[in-house]
Amino acid sequence: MLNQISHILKAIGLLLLGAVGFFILRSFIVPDSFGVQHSYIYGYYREASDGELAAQPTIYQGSEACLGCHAVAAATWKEGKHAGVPCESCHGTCRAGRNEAGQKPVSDSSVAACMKCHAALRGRPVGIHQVAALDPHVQEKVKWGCQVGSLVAVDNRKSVKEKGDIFAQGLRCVLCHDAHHPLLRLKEFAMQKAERERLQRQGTDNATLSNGEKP
Amino acid sequence: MKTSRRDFLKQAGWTILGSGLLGTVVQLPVRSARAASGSSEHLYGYIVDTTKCIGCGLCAGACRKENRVPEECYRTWIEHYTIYLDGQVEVESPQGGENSFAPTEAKGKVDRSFFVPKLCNHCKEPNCVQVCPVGATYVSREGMVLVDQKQCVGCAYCIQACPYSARFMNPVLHVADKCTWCYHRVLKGLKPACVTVCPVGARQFGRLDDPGSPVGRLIKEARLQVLKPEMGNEPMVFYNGLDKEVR
Repeated sequence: MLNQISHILKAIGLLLLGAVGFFILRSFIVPDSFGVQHSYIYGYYREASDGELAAQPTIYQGSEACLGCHAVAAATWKEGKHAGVPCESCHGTCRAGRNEAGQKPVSDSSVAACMKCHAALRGRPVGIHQVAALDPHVQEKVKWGCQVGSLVAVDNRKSVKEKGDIFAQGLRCVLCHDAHHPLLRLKEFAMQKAERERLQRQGTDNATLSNGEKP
Repeated sequence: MKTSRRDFLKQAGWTILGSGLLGTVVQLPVRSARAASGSSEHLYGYIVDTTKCIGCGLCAGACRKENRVPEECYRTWIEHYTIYLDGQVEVESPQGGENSFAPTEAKGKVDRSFFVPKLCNHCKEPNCVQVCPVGATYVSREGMVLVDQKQCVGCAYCIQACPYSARFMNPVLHVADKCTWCYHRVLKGLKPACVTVCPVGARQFGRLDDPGSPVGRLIKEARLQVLKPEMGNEPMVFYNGLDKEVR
């Protein structure tokens, strides 16, 4: 009888030993903060993970971070059609004047950068100004810009057909359109054009006048 | 004093037994205390306005930069839908729409066309969390569905379980990866990177209970839809102007 009890005790002892071994192993293998945080279905996780994920550095800072220092650009930006387009959409990431590589941000002023938003695309909302590559906008407006502003860097005296792909020759949207306020310079152009026409008219008037005066 | 092997083993056994039991007894109240603290609330909502999206792809690019998303993987992407008069539906998303879309010839008479940005829906009832065998993907206290990259074993069950294909296997870390709604930014009071760069305000993010943020009010009052409501996941990304052809 006593012999039998000792057998049972040995079995129980072994089971207990196994259980203890399991708990000891478990305490080493299971991470510290692992457990049920708020619900058994969705909240069973390692709590320290929250903090680790939250520690990731932020790269984009939002327009508010820029406006304090860049007041002049901000004032222009707020007046124009691009008001509300965040700074970092075009300028790239920036924190205290440096991008994620620690350099001064360089804005992409290529035609391709403008075309990301302004290329004529099927399905693009109609309220967005859309330009098809080398469409009449470019052919006419560039010529017009050249006549009134003389600001365009490429040789605009040649016709569009002769020049071929004017974008390939370095003509960019930003030569006429201020990216902060796309229509700003166009107003100047229009005023210059009006002034030039007035002078021309005056010139012809003077000519006729002087002609008429001659006996 | 001479100890026999038998005595030594006996004493060792009792010592292990005792210390183990003690440890368990001490540990139990700690765990239960943690279980009782805090609860998961879905504090945030995300609105995508498909009537405003211009398909510029800046959001996908910003996401890659902000979260160091590996090449050819996308935490958010833009789909370009074209629906023809004969009912044919065309969906394209070259490079996730990250570099915008090339103007293409329509293959017939177009009925309607639009862009649909997509991302993790941070569901109230997430399949992905339920299937994770190691507790690596979870709902945070703020209601974000997150991945614990240290805990993940890369079994990819969650990737199969997501009805929105929002998850992918990170080819560098070999763990499941997905949009976090920029958890690290939101906790600092910033908006997610994609929302920060959207030039037309097609993406909006905010607290549901914040009267200063229009998102909570819009989600309650505006006529918004979610993707695949029949799945019962209760997504927290809401769409305005969602077409019936969008899946």
